[in-house]
Amino acid sequence: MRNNSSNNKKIEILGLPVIPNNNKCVYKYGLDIMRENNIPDTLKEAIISYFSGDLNQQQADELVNWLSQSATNANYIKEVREIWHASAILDEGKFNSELGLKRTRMKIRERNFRQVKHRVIAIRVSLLFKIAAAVFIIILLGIGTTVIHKKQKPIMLSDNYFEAEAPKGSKSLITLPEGTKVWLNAGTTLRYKNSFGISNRDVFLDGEAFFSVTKNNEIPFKVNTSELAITALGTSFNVKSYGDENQIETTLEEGSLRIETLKSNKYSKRVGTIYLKQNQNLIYQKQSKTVTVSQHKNQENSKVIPLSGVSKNIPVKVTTVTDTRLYTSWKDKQWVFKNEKLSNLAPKLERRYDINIIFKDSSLLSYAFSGTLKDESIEQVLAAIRFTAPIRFEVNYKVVTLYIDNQLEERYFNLLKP
Amino acid sequence: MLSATDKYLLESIQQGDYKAYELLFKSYYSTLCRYAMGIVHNWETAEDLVSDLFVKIWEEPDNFMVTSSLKQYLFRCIHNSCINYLSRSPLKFQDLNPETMEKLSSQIPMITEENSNTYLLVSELEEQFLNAIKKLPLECARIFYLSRNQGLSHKSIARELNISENTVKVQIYRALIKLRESLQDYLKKD
Repeated sequence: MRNNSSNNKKIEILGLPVIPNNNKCVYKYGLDIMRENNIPDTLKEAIISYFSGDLNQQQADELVNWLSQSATNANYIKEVREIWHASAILDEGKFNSELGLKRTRMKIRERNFRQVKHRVIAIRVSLLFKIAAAVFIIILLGIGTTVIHKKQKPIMLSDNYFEAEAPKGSKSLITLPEGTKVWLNAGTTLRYKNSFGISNRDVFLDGEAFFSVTKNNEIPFKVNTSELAITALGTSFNVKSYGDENQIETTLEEGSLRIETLKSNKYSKRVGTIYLKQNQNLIYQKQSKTVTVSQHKNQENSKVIPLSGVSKNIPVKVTTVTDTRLYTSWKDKQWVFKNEKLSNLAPKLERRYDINIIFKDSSLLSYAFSGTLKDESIEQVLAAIRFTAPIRFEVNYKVVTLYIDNQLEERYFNLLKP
Repeated sequence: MLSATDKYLLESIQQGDYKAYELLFKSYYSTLCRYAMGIVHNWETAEDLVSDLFVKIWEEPDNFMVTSSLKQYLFRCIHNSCINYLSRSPLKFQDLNPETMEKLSSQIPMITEENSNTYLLVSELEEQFLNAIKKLPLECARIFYLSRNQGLSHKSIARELNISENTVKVQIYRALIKLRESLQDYLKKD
């Protein structure tokens, strides 16, 4: 019987009906090593518990006691442990590699976030070094003349900018010197002066960023974009102002914001102010210089809060918006979009995945999509798009070409027929 | 010598091929976790260490100097990370008082590069292991297999076979002793 079973494959041995609980093993060699070593069952349990990490106090005491009896006991455990380790190679279950992969990818991303942080710190360190050097020079000069010393100091300090960047295809989280957290979307640069946090809290943005501002009633936090200056009177908001897009957009999650249009030139008088309330979104068209304000629909009073402090010379249109997550979710692992035209979505995908999207057929531009993206690859996103639109795509390194899929279009069309 | 498939896999990863990375990950993740678990005795830590190893593989693939088998290499890496981990934070068991823990770690020598070389033979070992398991008494084999191969907890094995958790542990212990006996030649130190 033994021979039979040993010729079987592992799964067949184990596929046999369960032996009733008689707790006895028949040994081929007739030698029971455990009995020979005179190890009680409770100790065996303790040893296995030790290996598997669920040793309790009682077992531990027993184990400690037994180990102290002789040196061979300790050696013995070592040998058993060796085989326990080696048997790890048999494993097929327990550790879920899908989950493991997700976690690992998250770690990789966090690590990249950290690296950006380090870069900012590195710049600051080098600045400190410069200041130290300047002070040193000043001290040297101070011996000869005191006039130069007074002049030089501010020059050294005022012309330094820090820059944080999230290149295309990646996002970054940075912490500014005074504690404000900034999520930078792909293809974004954020600059600030070295006086930041001391005499001002001005940052200069090209791209998209979400700000979670540290409270400081004395120094307002101000985001400067190409045509708008946005001053935080509350805590968290999103600003999107890419140089290559023709609108600037800001969404407020919490607190309130003051938005000023900047003078386009010395002679322009088009300077205006708008205050944005919680869960409102503002879009500024660069060409027409018009403003649209949208408001969260689910607010208690679905009436739009009257805008205050709007200068007469800014044309304002008011609409409603269902969910601010549509504007701010990019910074989280998931990204929500709703009824967004492909013409709009494509630049976002380009930045998010660091790719170029080419449309072979302009009719594709008007297809609209809704969805939530998490960790999907660009292929997965495109495949998902294909579910609802007759799109064929080719991915060639970093260039994605979209074609209209005539066959698929026909099939969709047929589905619509009565 | 590095096998052709291993070489291809590594080169693809070095060029940033995510698919190749995913393949490597899925082939070795759980095995490595199991191995790490055997040393650090805590599955969260085990997964963490293995995951850290894979972060390094993706971020600094050029630092991976694989000369022989990729599998052996990975085992050596994770073995070293476990040892490093233990030297930084000694074993801890939730339910134990620190005093007992201290005694225990002084009594049972920590695994070092010298006193464990099982991973060196990993490629031959798997086959031998399966053969050796077949020679075990039936119940013993079944319990061992469920525990070490299927990754079931002692509790769920006990429930499934309608025996006590302690019996499960005793049977696993027995299996280890028997396996030790039949695998002696493969585990011998050179």
